[in-house]
Amino acid sequence: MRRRNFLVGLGGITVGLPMLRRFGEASLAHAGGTDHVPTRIITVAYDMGTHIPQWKPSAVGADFELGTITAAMEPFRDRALFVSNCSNDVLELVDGYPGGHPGKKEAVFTGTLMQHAFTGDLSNHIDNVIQSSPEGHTRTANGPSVEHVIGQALRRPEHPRVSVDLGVWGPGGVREPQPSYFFYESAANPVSMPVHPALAFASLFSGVTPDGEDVDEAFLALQRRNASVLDAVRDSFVDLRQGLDAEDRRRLDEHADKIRQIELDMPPLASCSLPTGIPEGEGAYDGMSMSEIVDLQIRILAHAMGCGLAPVGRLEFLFQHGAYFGIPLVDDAAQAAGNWHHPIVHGLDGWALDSEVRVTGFKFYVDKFAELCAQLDAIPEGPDGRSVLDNSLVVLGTDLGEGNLHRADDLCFLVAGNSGPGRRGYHFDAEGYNVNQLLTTLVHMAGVTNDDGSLVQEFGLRGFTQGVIDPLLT
Amino acid sequence: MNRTNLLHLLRLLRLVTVSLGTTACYSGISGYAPGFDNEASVGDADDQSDAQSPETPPIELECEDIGRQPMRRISSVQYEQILSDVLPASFVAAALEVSSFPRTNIEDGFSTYATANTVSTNESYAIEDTAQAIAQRFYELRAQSVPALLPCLPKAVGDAEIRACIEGFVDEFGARIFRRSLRPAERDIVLDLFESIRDSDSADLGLTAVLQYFLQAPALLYVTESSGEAEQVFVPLGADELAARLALLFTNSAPDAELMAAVSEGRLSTKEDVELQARRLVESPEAVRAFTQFHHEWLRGFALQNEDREHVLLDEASQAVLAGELKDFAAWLLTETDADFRTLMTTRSFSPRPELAPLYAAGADDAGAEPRTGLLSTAAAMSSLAHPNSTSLIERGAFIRNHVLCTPVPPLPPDIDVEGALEDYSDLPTARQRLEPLLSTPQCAGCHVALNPLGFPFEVYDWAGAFRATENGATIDTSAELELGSISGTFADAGELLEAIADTQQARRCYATHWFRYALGRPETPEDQCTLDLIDERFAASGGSVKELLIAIATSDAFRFRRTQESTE
Repeated sequence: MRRRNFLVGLGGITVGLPMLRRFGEASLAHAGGTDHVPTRIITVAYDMGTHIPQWKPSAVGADFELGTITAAMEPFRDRALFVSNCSNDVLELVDGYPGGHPGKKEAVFTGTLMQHAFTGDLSNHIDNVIQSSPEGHTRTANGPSVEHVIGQALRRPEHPRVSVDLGVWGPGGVREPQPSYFFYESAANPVSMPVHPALAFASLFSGVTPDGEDVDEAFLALQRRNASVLDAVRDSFVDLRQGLDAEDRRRLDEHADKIRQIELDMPPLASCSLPTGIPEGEGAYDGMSMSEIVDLQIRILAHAMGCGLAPVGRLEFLFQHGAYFGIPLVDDAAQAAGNWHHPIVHGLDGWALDSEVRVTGFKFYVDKFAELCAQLDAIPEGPDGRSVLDNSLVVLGTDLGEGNLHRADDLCFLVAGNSGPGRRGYHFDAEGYNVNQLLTTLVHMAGVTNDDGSLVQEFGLRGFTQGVIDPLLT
Repeated sequence: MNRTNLLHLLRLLRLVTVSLGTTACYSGISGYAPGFDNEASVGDADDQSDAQSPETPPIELECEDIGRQPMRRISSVQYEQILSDVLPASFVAAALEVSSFPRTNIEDGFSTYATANTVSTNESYAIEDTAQAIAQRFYELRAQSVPALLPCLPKAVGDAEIRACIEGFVDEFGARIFRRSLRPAERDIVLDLFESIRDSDSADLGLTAVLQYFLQAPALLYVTESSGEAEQVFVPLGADELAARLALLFTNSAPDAELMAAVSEGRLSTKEDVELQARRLVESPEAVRAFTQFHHEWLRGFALQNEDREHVLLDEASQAVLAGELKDFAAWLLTETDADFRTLMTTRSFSPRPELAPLYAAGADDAGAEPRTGLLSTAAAMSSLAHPNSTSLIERGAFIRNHVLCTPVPPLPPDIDVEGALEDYSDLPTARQRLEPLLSTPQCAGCHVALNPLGFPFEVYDWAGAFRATENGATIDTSAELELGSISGTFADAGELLEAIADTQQARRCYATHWFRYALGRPETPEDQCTLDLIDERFAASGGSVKELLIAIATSDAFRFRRTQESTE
C-alpha cells in the first residue's frame, strides 16, 4: 500500500490528516525528540563471531584506524559506533553453557535465556532461572528481542507492517521462510524470516506504488509547505526561549523536540522506489551464493525501509554450513574441507586464527553490513536532505566473540546511522559491561521510554542487571 | 491612530519603564530594579539603557514575597475562544469544526494550571493537526475567508502591495494572537515563510501557511513571561504581559481592543491602570466566560460531560443541560445579581432550565418555590459530586472540606479495613446508617465525625441531582451535627448547613483561594500567604463581592509581578 494512500484528498488538494502516530498498544513509548532520535531500527545478525584483533579498531576513543574486518565501514565511521569486548553475562546463569551456538544466538538481542532454563510460570525473571543446559532447545528465548520492543514504540499507523524481515539461507533455492535464531516477537516466538528474495519482494511490495511519474504533485507540495511551517514553528521556539528561566526553557525545549519529531515522521518525499533486478522464475536461486542472495535481500530491505513499510527491519544469516559465500578463497577452502565452511570460518583445528580465509569470511559480514548502510544512505528521506540511514538505528551483532573459541564474553557490535544520543565515530572497549546493558542502551538510543516517560532501566532478563553503558552515550 | 503608529507605540512601550508610581499600601521589599520583560530583544540599546537607568524608582511590593509563576500553556477552552475572537466571524464555525486541539486534562485544580496543559507526543501531533486542518479549511473556503481575514490581499497588485498587505496582517493578527507585538525575529520568520510559499505556490497559499503557523506558534500556546535580569528576585510584568493575564483571567481569550490600546498608549503599567482595566473587564459581557468556567471546574462539572449517566429522569437533552448547569448558574449570578459570595452559596432564586424540571420538581414546596440552596445544591453539583449510579455522602463531605472550607481531609490510612468495618451494616436502607460505624469506630471517627455530617444533608439529592425523600423506603435524615472550626451546631438540612458555611471567613477565604489558583494557573505557595491575606481582606471588605475579589486578585503582587528565582526556604 502506498503511504500517501492513507491521506485523504479534499477540495482539489491533498490533505495530510493526520500525520504519523505512535501505536497505543506499545508497551514502551517513543520519547520523540531531537534531531538525533531514529525513526526505525534495523538489526543484522549472523552466528559466526569474528576474529577480534582484526575486528577491533586500532584504539579506543575517536582516534583510530579500522581493522581489516571492519574496513568497509570507513565511509560511515563518523556515523558508526564500534563496541568490543561486551560480555553476554546472562549466559553465566546456567551451569556449563555448552560450547555451541544454542542459547547464545537467542540471548544476543533478547537479553534472556531459553525457556528451558526457567521454571514455574516461565516468568522472565532471574528468580525463575534454574541451572539447566539449554542444548537442544533452540528458538525458545524467553522474551522479545530489542528491535521488536523498540519497533512497537516507533510504529505509526502509516506503517503497513510491523517489520520487514529477510533471511539468508545458503545454499539458495529455499522457498519457505525460516524461524529466526536471534529475533523474537515474544517468548518462544521467533520471527519468521523469508529467505527467497523473489517471494519476499512480491509479498512486501504488493500494492506499493513507487514514487515517480505518477507522483501526486499536490501532495508533495502540501508536504513541502507543512515542512516549511514546522520549520518556522521550531525556529520560533528558539526565539521564545529568550528571557525565560531554566524551567520554562526546559518545557519549551521538550515541546520543540516533539515538533522536530513530527518533521522527522513526515512521510518521505519521493523516496519510495521498487528494488530492481530481483530474479524471478523457477530455479532462479538454485545454487546462488550467500553473497548474491544477501545483496538482493539488502536491496529489498533498503527499499522497504525507504518506502516506510515498517519501523523495524531485520536481516539474518541463518544457514551457513556450505561452500556458498561466493568468495572463491573461502569457498575453495570450504570445498577442500568437505564443503563445510562454517568451521573454516570460525573453528576448524589447524587453521591459524588470523588466516586469510578466516579473516575474509568474517569480513564478509561486515562488508554486507556496510553495503546495507550504503544503500540506506542513498535513499533520501524527509524534507531536510537526510537519508534513510540518517533516520535509522542500524545494529550488527553476532553471538560469539572470538569465533574459534565459541566464547560469548567478548562480543563485538556495530551501531551505525542514527544512534540518537549515542556516540558516533567512536570505539568503546566494553569490558565490565554486559549485553543486557548494551540492549538497554539501544533502547535509550532509540528515544524509547517507559509509558510514564521514565527511562528504561533494564532489558531482557528482569532482575539481572540495571542501567545502560553510559560511555556509549554523549 | 493608524496601524503604523500603533505598532510603533507598541514597540516603544516595551522600552518605557513600568509602574513608576506603584502604590504601596504595605511598606514591603524595595530596591528591585524594574527589569523590563522581553526587552532584551526589542528596540535599540539607547532605549533599553533608559529603561533600566539608575534613576528609576525602586519597585515596591505590597508583600514581602510571592510564589514562582510557572509558564502556562493555554487551555483547550482558551485556544478555541481565542480563535473565535481573532478569526473572521464567518469562518469561526468552519475552523472549530475541524479542530482536534487536545482537551485540557484536569487532574487537580483548574484547566488553567500549567500541569494540566503539558504536551505529550500525541498532543503535539493534535496541535499540529489542528493548525493544518484549520488552514486547509481556510484555503478551501478562500473565496470568502481570504477577503474576510485580509481584505487587502485580493486587491493587492504587484509584489510591493502584496508584501505591504501581508506585513500589516502579520503585525496586527500576530499581535492579537500572540498577546503582544511580534519580536523582530518572529516577524522575519513569518514573512520569510510567506515569501517562500508565495514564490513556490501562490499568495493565497502563502497566507494559508502563515495562518497555519500562527495557529500552532509557541507564542500563542504559551503564556511566556520574562524573568528579567538574573539578580532580580522580582520583576514587574510588562504591559503586554499584564494585558495577557487580564484577558485570560476575565475573558479566556486574547486582549481586546481596549487592552491593546492601553498597552500601546502606555496606560497599563501602574496598579491603578490594572485596576481600571480589571473593573472594565469584569463588567464586560465577556467576563461571563471566565466566571462560568471557574465555577464549572470548581465543582468538577466536567465530570458530567465525560460520563454516560442513565437515570429515569434524564434523557439525552436534559443530560446535556445538566452538564452545563453550573455555567448557567454562574452566568445568572454574574448578570442577574450582585454576584456576592453569600448569594452564590445560599440563593434560592436561581431557576433551572425547563429540561431539568423533573429533577427539581419533586422537591418543590407547596408554593412551588425553589427549595435548593445555592450553587452547591444544584442538580449539577449534586450529580458531579456523586458516583455515576449512587450517591456518596463521603465524597460530598470531602469536597466541602477540601474545596469549600479548605480544611483537607487526611488520606485514608493504609491499614484501615473499611469494607470489614462496614460489612455488618451493608443491608441497612440509608447511606447514613450504612456508614454509621465510621463515626463510632475509634480509628475512623477522628476524620469522619467532621466529614460525614457534611454529606448527610445532601443525601436527599440522588446521584443525578434529583430530589428524593427516601432511600430504599426509609426516610432520609438530613440533619447534621458538626464541630468544624466556626461551623458548630446542629443543622436541619442542606439549606441550614450552607447558610452557616456561607457566613464563615473560612469558606470565603477558601473560595478566594480557589479563584487565586484559577487566575494564576497554579496552587498557592507559602510565599503567597501575604497576597492571599490581602485578597481575602479586600474580598471581605467588599461584602463578599466576587467582582471585587477578581479585581483584588488582578491588582495583587502575585498577578502583577513575577518571582524570578525559586525560594530558598
